[in-house]
Amino acid sequence: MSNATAGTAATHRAATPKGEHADEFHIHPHISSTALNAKVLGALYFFTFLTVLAYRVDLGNANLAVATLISVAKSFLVCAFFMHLRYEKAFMSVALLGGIVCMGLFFGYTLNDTDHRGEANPFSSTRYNQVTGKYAHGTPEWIEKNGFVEVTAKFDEAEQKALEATGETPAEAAKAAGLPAGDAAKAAATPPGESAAKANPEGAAGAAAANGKGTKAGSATAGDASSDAGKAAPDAGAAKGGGGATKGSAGAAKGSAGAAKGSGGARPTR
Amino acid sequence: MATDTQTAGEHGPAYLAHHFDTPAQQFDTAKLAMWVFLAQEMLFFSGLFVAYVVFRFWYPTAFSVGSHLLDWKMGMLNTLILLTSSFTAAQAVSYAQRGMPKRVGWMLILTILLAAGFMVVKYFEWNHKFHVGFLPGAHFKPDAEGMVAIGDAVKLAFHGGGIGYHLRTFFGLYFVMTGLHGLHVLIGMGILAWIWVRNHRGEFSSEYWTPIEITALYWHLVDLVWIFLFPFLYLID
Repeated sequence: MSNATAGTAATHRAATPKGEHADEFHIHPHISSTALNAKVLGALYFFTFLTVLAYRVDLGNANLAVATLISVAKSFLVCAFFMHLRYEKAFMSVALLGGIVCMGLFFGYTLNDTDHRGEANPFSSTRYNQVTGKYAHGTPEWIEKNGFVEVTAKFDEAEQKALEATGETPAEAAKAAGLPAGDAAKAAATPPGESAAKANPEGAAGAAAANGKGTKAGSATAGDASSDAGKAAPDAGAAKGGGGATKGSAGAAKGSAGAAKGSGGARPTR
Repeated sequence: MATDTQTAGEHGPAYLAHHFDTPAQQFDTAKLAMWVFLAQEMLFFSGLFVAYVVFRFWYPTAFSVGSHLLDWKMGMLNTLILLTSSFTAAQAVSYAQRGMPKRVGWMLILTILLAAGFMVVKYFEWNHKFHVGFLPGAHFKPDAEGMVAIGDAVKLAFHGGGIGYHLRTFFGLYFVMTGLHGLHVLIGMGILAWIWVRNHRGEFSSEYWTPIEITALYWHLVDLVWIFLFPFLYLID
């Protein structure tokens, strides 16, 4: 086999430069000049600044589209010039285009499903089905069970104690978290399925339930804790339960407890 | 591979593997294979981008607030660094084609240094996030400083109004996407260093520079991924 190959090569060499493969033996690359590469780099810098400027304008949902378009333009420059695709044989681009088509299928099919699962709540980002009034897929289980209060995180008990030692009041904590009590109450009241009749039966059951849950929430999620705090607040006897719930949870939960106090009826509903 | 004992007359230059007829054929084959690999890399990252888009549409508040917890100035600095490194990589190829190995070496070193600069910036970003507890998924646990930062981010975010429980999801995607990209940068630095050594040994010429070009193609892909990551993670309204 090596003889045959060597023979073929020898033929090519003998035939060069007049043979049919005259142009294929040596590589004849496109050599990009420094000036061209520098111009491409300049354009890429320009688009980078443009994308930063574009995001500072509130275009609503169009912001993502604009950012994507600018990124596609930058990618085109990199592929065409830096990666020499512009000067290559077409079959090099086929691999890239094939990948892009597959990506399109991937995105299209997935979003066709996931982006049509009810409306998003602007405050909580949870989605609910407008027909049933229930939370849609993509909503964490604990929100489905306990309703939503805008809480992101929990503290360690040690951290919580350290916070308490500084003498911060719930209102201050809420302020530190950037959540005016009123806003927090509004947010708490916003989750879907408005009717109070549908409210969590456990909430109606009162302090005992809230207390038990609060303990659980301390180790689980702050959301549990603060939602129970919200339920407990209107009931004077439940004050302890609410306090217990707050203890194990975050500064933000403190804020929510304050919010519930302020609005009274701001009870998370399904 | 062509053996050293083979003389140029038998088959062709020493760099020409025996299963190829001509250097041009060998060069195009290498490039096509690289493009197939790059397409595979693209699909590898596209899975993460699909997850990103799904969660961004589901949890717009968390993504808006989350992006305000990142420092877009650092993101932009890294974008400019990586774009410049793509330029130096392209210049390395260009100088190789013209048979200027010394300049190739300098361009490769510049590319490696810029890549290192990118990783240093990333280190400071990641370090801060670890420090304040902005960790992925179940480990998301901001400390007092982190909570204050979240409060500030809520005020900045266009979609503000609630903190959004799903910040953990945003930071999950942030760490996986920038982490895998960072891994690509580190691997790229290793390959660039190896290519620098080979260039230093005088293995390349204006007739044969395939490894330099293939490495540059890989490096441009690393740049391409970041071109999308920057606005998608740092610049959400």
